[in-house]
Amino acid sequence: MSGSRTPVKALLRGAVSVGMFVLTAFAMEGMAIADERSSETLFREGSDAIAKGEYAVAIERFEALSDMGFAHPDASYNRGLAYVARLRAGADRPGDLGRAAAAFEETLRMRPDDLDADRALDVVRAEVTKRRARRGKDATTVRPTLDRVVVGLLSERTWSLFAFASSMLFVVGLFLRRIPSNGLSVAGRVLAPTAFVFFCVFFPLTLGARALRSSTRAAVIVASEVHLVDDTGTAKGGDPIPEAQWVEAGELRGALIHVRWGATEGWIPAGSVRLLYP
Amino acid sequence: MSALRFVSACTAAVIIASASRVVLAEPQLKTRVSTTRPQVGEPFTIQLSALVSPGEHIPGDPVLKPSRGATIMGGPSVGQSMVVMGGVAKVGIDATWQLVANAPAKVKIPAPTVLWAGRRFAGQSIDVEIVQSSGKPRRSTNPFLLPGGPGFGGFGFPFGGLDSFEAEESLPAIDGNLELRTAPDPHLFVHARADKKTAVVGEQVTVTFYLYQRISASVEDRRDPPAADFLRYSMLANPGTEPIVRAKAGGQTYDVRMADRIALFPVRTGDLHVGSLQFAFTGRPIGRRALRASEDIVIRVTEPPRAGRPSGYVLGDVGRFSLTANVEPRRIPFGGTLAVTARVSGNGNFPQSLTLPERAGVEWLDPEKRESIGPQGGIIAGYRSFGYVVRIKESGTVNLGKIDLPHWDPASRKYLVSSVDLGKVDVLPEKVPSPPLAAALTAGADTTDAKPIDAFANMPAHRSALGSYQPPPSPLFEGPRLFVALGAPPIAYALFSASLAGARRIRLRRTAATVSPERLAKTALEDADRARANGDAKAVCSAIERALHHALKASTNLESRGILVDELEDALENAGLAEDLCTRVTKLLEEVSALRFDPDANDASVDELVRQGRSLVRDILDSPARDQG
Repeated sequence: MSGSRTPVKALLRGAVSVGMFVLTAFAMEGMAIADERSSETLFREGSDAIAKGEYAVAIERFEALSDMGFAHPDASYNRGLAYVARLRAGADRPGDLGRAAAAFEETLRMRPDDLDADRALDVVRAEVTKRRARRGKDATTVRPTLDRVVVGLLSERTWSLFAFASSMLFVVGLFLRRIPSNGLSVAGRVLAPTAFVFFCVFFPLTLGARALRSSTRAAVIVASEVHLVDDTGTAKGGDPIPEAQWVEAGELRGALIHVRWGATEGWIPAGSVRLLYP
Repeated sequence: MSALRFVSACTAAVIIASASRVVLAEPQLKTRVSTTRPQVGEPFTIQLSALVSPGEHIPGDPVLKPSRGATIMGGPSVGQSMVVMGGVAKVGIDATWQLVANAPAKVKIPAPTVLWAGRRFAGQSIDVEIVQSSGKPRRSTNPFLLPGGPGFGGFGFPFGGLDSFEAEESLPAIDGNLELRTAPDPHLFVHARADKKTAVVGEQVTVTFYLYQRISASVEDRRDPPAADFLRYSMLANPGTEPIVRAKAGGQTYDVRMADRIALFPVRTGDLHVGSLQFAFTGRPIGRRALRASEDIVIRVTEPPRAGRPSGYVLGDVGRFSLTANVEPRRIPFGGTLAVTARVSGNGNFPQSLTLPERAGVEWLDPEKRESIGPQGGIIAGYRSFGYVVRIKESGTVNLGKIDLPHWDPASRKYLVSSVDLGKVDVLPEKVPSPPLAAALTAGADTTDAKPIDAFANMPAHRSALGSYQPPPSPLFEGPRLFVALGAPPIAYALFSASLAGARRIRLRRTAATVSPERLAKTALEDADRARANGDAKAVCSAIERALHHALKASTNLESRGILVDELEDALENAGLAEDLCTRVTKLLEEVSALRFDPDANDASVDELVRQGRSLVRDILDSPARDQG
């Protein structure tokens, strides 16, 4: 009797497992579709609001998209335009220029060849410069430090590919050295040390790019200007960081965030900076 | 017919009046007890008041039947009583019995009775709980328990039900909720208690500070807790005037007073410190300005869940709110203004601002805020209104839109959205000035009122649909895979080289094993056997000699072939070979030389040579010199 029940139970158990798997798959698919629809709906509502001049609704919808983690260059671009609309309506709030610049900067990070975003960012930055000039403040230009420049020449992916290729070539050179053929052996004797030198260059660059990616994020100042403070909260002096400036944001400690602006680094209020994607 | 009805009505009225008079004529009886929780051995009293209307017979003969658990020690003590209630006077008696509780139990005291108009009328029975004696005498303010105290004549207590005299006891009740396992100070200390330890940003946390004291001390100074990361509302109108209760802490009984109660609304996430309420006391056992501080309560504050969060939600808007709005007037001239008053009512952390339906052509000026927010029944409630002046720069029917207030309701643990539709307003068309005036205005505008240049006039258009976008690829070598990928080729090469070297070493070892002296010695012995079988004596001698030299090489590492036979013995001894073996080697080599050139050598001598050679080779190979070597 029990022998006849066991296969039936096993079959039932298997059927239940398959059913649950299918249901789970459908549920997850449904959630993903719902999420996508919700994102598209918010984008459409925000775009319609811009068209009607309802910048408050537009800002709210695009910010909601951003809060949801929805990253798309067109959404960021329209978000920037929504802030610009509020500026044009004369209802701007402190930091709106920075928020617009952050949105356009984010668009360009996702789609570097977006000419509209590039132009809009130029217009916003020019307006920031003009407004600062009205307050008698000079335009500020900062240059990144050499390490950032070198690491930023290529992407982390490219650096890692170069390092990997160097490692491979080094090994190929070592193999060639063992071949009795005179020509190949000479090639190996040249290739191995050369590839090793390249590896010694690309490997640290890969690690540097990786460390920057994992410990820092691009950000834009969204306050009229912010002053840097040191670890003890004391003002560091020097020029404040103007609005809409690109900074490198790092560790978050309470209400402060560590930023690097050119060669200067320090802490600023976390609310005065907008982190960019990606 | 109508006369009959009148007579019937009058009769009924008389009957009802008589009945009510009879009912009202009964004495009003009221029974009271001095305490409902007497201790064992403690005297307590039962008092019966019996009142009737003036002019009627006074009730008499009060009787209380004895009950289990309590013994009647005295009484009844009877006194006259008169009470005026609502302008109506009542007279009667107050009868008092003194009882003593016997043992812990719940006891029902039977209803005492009085005799009136030939009938007995009973008061109310009373339930008392006799508790174990605490050992401390309880001082009672009940005057009729004090020797020489006032009697019960004159005006008594108003009636209205069964009263207890507990409130009249001088010692306050013990509150078990305030009991503490340990007491940080034997004399007095401050204790803080929060109604919750975790909250979301903007959720009310009520913190109560209690002052536990066993001594008399005066407060010299007080410092409120900083609570820097919270919005704070005081929940007490007059802190420090709350009634005293008693509670145990560390086994001792303290008088406990609520020092303060505050409602806190966290403004950020994290482990937020409330801080300490500090007092400086001066008292006899603790000295002058002794500092006492409460615990620093830490509240873990998180954000409300992201799932289901409505768009426009502002972190910190937590509570339960409703939203109403008033717009007036609904018809304005072009360029005119209207007033919009939005009112948020409810409880919780009220929003500091509202998200307005701003749009181009409608300008909202900064709001004027009014509020009435305060503690109501343990929560912070009230309203906050926002009065806006709205300027409309377009004509026609303008839809003002809708104000939404999304907020998190901690009670239902879900997001709610309160909305109010502001409706539409009519804006009259702009008045067009007459042509000469318009020309003048235009000319004036050309010269003086130049419009500010719109810096964003040439901004690109917005995008109505999502274009194609490919998210950036994830890093090629994420995590430890980078080190694996970069290190794999050199490691593979190192492994390959090591395996090649190992193979070569094994091959060499095998080759070396095939040409070892030991092996060669054995081969030579085999050659000797073959030569003997062929009858070649010279070959046998040669093979035996070879076997000996290989064996000596294997045993002593000595190239004996290049040493003269005369010197060989000493050389072998120096090489560590045993003396007898050295002698045998020399002797056998000499025999080999002799036999090689002996034309008369027979098979027996050859066999003997082979036997000796084999034996000697085996002894040499097994000799200690070989082991040492």
